Amino acid sequence: MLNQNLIRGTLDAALSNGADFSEIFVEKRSNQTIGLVGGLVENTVSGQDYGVGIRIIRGTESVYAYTNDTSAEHLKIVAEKASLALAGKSKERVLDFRIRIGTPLMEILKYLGDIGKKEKVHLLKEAHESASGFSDEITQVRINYLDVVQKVLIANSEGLWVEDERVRTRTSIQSVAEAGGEMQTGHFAPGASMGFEFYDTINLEKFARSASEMAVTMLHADFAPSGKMPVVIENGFGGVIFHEACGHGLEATSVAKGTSVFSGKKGEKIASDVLTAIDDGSIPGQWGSAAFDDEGMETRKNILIENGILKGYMVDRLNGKKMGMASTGSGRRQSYKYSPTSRMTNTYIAPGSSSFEDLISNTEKGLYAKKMGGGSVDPATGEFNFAVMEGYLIEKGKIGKPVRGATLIGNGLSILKKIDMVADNLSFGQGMCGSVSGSIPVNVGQPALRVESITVGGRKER
Amino acid sequence: MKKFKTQGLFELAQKQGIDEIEIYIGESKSFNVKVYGGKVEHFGIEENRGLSARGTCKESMGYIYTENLNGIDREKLILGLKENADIMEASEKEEIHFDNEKCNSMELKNTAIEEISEEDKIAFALEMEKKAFSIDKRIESVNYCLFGESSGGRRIMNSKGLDLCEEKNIAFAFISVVAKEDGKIKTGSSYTVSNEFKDFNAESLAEEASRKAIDQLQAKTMASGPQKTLFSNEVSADLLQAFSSVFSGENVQRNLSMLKGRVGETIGAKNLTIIDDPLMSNKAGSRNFDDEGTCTFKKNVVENGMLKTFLHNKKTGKKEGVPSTGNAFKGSYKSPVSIAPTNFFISPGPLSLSEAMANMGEGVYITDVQGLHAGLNAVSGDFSLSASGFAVRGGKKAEAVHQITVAGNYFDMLMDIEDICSDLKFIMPGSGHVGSPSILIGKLDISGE
Repeated sequence: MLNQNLIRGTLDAALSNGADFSEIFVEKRSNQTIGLVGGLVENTVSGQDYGVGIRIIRGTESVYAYTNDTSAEHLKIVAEKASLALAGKSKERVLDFRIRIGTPLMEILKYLGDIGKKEKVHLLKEAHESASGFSDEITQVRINYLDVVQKVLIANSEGLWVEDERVRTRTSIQSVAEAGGEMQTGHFAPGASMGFEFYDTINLEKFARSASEMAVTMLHADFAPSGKMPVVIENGFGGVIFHEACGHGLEATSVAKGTSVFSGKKGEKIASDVLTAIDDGSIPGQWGSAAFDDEGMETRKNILIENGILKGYMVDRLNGKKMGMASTGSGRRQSYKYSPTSRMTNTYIAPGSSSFEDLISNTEKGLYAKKMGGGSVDPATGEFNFAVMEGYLIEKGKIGKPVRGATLIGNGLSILKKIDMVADNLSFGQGMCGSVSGSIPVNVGQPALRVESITVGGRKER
Repeated sequence: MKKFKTQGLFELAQKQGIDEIEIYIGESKSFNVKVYGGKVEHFGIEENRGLSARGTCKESMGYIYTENLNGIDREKLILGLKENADIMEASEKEEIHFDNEKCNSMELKNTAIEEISEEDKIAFALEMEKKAFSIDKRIESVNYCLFGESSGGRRIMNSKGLDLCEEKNIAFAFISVVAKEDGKIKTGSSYTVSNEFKDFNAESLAEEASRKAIDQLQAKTMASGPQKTLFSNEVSADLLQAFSSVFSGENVQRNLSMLKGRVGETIGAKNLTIIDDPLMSNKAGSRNFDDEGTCTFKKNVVENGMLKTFLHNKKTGKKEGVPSTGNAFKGSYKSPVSIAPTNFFISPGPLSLSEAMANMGEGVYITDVQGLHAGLNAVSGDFSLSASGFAVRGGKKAEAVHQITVAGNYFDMLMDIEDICSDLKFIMPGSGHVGSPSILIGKLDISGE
């Protein structure tokens, strides 16, 4: 994307006023979005993001500068200006580059740019038909398609040179059902780090029908119950509970400053015996995967919790330095506009030995959370929340009447000890995770599990 | 902002079968500094520039954008635009306009703040951190402490003759502290958004963040059940921002708003007035013209409980048979023209916070909610949110409460507003800059124990 001399010159200029380390992140990214409303293409945008981020580190201080003007003269000016912010004495020199070109974790069979826009629209129209034809009560369907080809070049003063390409596509389907002056929605949004062949591996029409089914079910559902109760959380996107309750707290971003509730707890028992949790950015084709992280480190499988014992954190370069730990390939950023930091990739709870039926039949009275929305957490306190979009009452060990959405809240440290049953049906769900280094694609995942007691923010007394 | 030379781009577009074309350029320069442990921890130096084009081809609007302004391939740009136009099927046609009206020319940029040295701004952030530690021994750490500023502009030019340009700047400070006592941990934060340096007060920001954290240290949960609920100004503004899309003409016409068909009807309590005012001084949502070049103006969206208008751009206004309300909005140069409020707020009422508490007698005063992006559905109006605040007993603020949820339906809630306070506050700008005073709601569902 940019030649070696230019990169070397920029990294050198970045060190010119004294620093330990300089890094350049060059990004060229093609985006295509297509939006259907009521089955018609209402908007479509394509374009190219193009920019360069320069990071300089001295000790634990850092500077991050970015620009869209990638001419040699301008990059030198930006790098020198950035280096002035950290002016010091030590002066490192840029080592020879060891060039590595990332091979995709999974071969791309149908390159997104090679697929005609009309073919993409055709796929979405079929999904629309399935969603809108599900019921007379479906009054609107919105479908948003996106594909991204992100080319990055990451080089640093230690001689690292990594080129990588990330290909991703995702389609979100939102159905609206309306009756008796009320509206309810249903939503699915499958995605992967794959080319257009992704849509050969899934049945998008089935997702579309499921979105409508959810909207219609919720239209006729009662309010969720209110207060503390046992909750069985569905597999797949249910993994949002671990993402919020614990995942963010295990990112070095907050651990390094000692402001995470999980700081200094490595080797301690923090969860029940049935819980093993993993973050793995190297799973081929998954939404949160890439061959390299955004600091040029190879992604890998990191065991976070094993049988309830905290085994490790997710660590990036700068926070690793503060913590005296090596990078775990977890440095990520939304784009060249963000300085990287430790983030999740594909985070999941490992399968247990119970069956889904065991979870339900062992629950006398509670809530079955079938479809989850997003959530958030304050890593300093561990207080988290996530939304249930579609729920069902559990009565006498059986799944009963559907109930509308409610937020579930708790505290990460205490909830991990309350996960008392884990099923054997691991699957993944896709999401966008927002934090200090921007909004990035992540998978959450889990088998169905049971929390023995958690606060359900419903609207009906039990 | 520099003049952009279209250099025959319009002519080339027309030669390639594009009837009308519009160029939109956005640019910004930012600086920010984060401090930690009495030292600068991180500097950010940002330059951003991008260009998008929209153009009509066989009556369909196509969009394309690029950030590579040094290497624009004009042929490729126009081809991409045409390909995108080719698949468009919108029921209502989007058009390019030139009204040739003279808009207000309110100054949105205060260059004085840019003349204050970076050293002074760093000193401000360091002072904020230092003050936080000096306020109370229970302040264990300051996990975020930053000052930043950004200046930028947008330029819109089209083949019908429109050429408008506007520059603005804004600065912000944010602090978040962690308080600890008896093994209990709480965080609190505060912020200021302004383009006048004198508005930034290190002591009061540190004090506010610390007080929020310390006040919650001894918080307990509470029993589940319906309660009279007083939302703080920040929380009410958070909710209004999350539900602001229900006032968008686009969402109404797409059958995604429960307010469709209700202009002229009562949708809120008698004391509720919601204003969209793009011409307020030193406010992040201010603008003299919108992203289609339409002049902006102040209007009441809800007046004494009655829905007066939706927010429109040219396309949705035309469909409704009304003029644009000057609310055409592009999230950035990358985005298509949509709709957003400008400075959008609930008009303040006569009461002080303590008078509102005296009126409510018993209930809960919510000062913080979390998970707004998840626990809230702008189509149905339903919300269920993690919350914290204080119990109110005997008309006075009592003990702190946390680990509760507050749930209800926003449309029902607007009808059930009992009191509106005088303490109007604007929150951090998002798509639009939203504000509210504290508001008292008849009843909402609380979950705790």
